[in-house]
Amino acid sequence: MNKTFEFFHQLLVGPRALLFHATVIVIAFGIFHALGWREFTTVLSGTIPADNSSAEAGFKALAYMASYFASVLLAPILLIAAAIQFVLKRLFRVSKGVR
Amino acid sequence: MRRSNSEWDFMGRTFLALALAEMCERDAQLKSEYLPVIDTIIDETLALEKERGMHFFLMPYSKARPYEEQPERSLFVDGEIALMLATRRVVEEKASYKELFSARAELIQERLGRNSVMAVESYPNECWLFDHALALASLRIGEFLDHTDHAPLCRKWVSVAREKLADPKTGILVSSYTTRAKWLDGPEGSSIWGAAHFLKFVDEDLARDQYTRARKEIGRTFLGFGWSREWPSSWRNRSDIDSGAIVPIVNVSAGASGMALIGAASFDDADFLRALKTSLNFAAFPVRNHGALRYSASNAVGDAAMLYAETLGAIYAKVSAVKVAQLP
Repeated sequence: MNKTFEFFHQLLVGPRALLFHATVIVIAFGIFHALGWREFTTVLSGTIPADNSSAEAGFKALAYMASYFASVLLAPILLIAAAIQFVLKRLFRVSKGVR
Repeated sequence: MRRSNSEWDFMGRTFLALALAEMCERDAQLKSEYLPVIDTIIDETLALEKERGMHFFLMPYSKARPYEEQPERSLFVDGEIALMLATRRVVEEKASYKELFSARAELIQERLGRNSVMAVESYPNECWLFDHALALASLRIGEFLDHTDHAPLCRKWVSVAREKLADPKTGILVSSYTTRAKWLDGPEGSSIWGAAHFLKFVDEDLARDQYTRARKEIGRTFLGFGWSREWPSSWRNRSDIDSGAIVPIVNVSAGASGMALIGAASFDDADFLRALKTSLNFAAFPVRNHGALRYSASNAVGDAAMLYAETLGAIYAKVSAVKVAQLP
């Protein structure tokens, strides 16, 4: 049970997992930005870009905004958390005399 | 933009013309470049109105039923055209625009005088505070230009507004009402910030009072970010197209926050203005290209309104200086 918990812990919230999540978020944002989905954020002002349905524009706008805010708000937190976890684990192992 | 809202096409013209006029008033060297642009905007707007009728600039429901007052006219259209003409003339007089403005001002005055609560329709039996503020501002600028006197009319309107249109809980004037002053929408951010600015030309005390109340009831700041709610916490209403997207829980209104820029700039609220701009730069997705700046989350009318917020003040200073000079 402890091993199972440890496994899922490392998979989801361990330092490498947090680093992975942050990287995925930033890459997703980069892709949406490169695709030009920033322009669809005009739906916030009630304007649908020409040649687009409201559903399509809304989806692209939401995807862009979610990835943008995740990149600037969530990703840094994940990176900091990963760093803290990594340092604490190293300290814990050193204090236990484990290399 | 007309696909979303025909009004925005019209208001985009107005805000752009006003902004360019402000820039010319601040820097006379810009006149040669920008006055022709203002004139093109005005002339094209007038031509479209003549060719397609006022409904061209209104939302489809303007034709849903007859206007209470006949022949039908929209204060939204008349007021903004009058304001564009008046503001352009402040920068530099133009004889043809003097006649056009005088005719439009007479229409506005006549409509204001038609009923006891001075409520003029923008849509069938639908009157808007913002449109009245703008129209009255154009009349006050007309006083500066043509030495007319609209003070009694403005005083009466202010008195009626205080009595009939003020929300008892917040003191903020409601945004829309019928020709009998029955409220349709309550106090709204997408109306009051801009209305307060234009009311400065009409009655500075009322204008500042409205700005102060709006700042308290719907203006918000947190960790350096600023935004506007669409409604005070004491009022619940359906959102309309002018509200823009409203972020739940924090009730951030894109439309109201954009108009709050005009209010904060107009009333020299530097702290709130800075906070609003911080939010703008963080959450409106700025795009910088060859020295130009626009915001992806905005649209043409939003951009024009923001430009107006950045440039306003010179026209008011010029007009109000004369008003002050005329005081005994």
